[in-house]
Amino acid sequence: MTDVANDDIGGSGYSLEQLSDYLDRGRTPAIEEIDGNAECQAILGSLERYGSLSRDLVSRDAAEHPEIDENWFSSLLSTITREVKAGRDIPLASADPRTSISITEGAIRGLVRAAGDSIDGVIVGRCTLTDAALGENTPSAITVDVSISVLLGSSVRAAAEAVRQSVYGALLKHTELQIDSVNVTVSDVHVIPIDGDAR
Amino acid sequence: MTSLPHELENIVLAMPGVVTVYSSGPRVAIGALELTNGSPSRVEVTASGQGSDPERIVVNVGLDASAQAPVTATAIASAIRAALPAGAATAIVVRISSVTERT
Repeated sequence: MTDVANDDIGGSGYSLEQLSDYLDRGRTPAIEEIDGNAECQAILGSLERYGSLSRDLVSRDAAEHPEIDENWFSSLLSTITREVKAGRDIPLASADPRTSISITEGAIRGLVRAAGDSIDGVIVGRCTLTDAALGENTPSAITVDVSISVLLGSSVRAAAEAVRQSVYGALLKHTELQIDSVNVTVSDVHVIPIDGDAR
Repeated sequence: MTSLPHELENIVLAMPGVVTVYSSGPRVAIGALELTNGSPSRVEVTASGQGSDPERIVVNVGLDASAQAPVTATAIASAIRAALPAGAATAIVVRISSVTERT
């Protein structure tokens, strides 16, 4: 694992490795600094989704393809660690002038990742939101670029289209952003363990 | 007697669609608060210099993806407003920090 494993996540005082251990322990005893931290929770959510690919796959397959698998997984964790950062607050409409409602960039990226990961056989690698207006905290049109890894043997075109629709639907439901486009790039294929020991 | 921040945290946590309330400040600040105030609330309430109404209330929430996040956030703001004295000019900030499927 790269040095990303030792980074402090979201100012919690806990590293990626410690979060992974916490997950392994079934999140007990409860640690307030982790449970009350949005970035830690986003990392834990990703680790849970990739559970079969993290500990099982990496440890099992390291002997067969140590460089490829470990680098790939470390790179993914590094990307996720960057993406969960809260970033800017994107305002949502409020009828009351004394009330401000917003959604963080980190939450939006989390939505995109979860929507992509929800498609069978798909693992989201990187997601990027591009719009100059985001920097001005103004809801505006955005372009979403998502790179994905697809399960070997599945239809690449169908998987990409399913991800595109899922991401679009999630953003439409939970944000007020105008979505210019959702671009999906299949950048990798992967295999998963079958019956606990086959790739 | 429950303090206003704790009362608001309980109100928010009891609302449909709310998964959790996140801390508003970094760990060091929370640790310092813990030393001075005991168990701190995750809802940040800034007291006003004048009168009894708070000047600002900030709540960071994790929401359930089953409902539209903006709708849930608006309901949270309304619930907080309803817990304040009528006519309070308190600024309410609701920040959505995550939207997840319930597991």
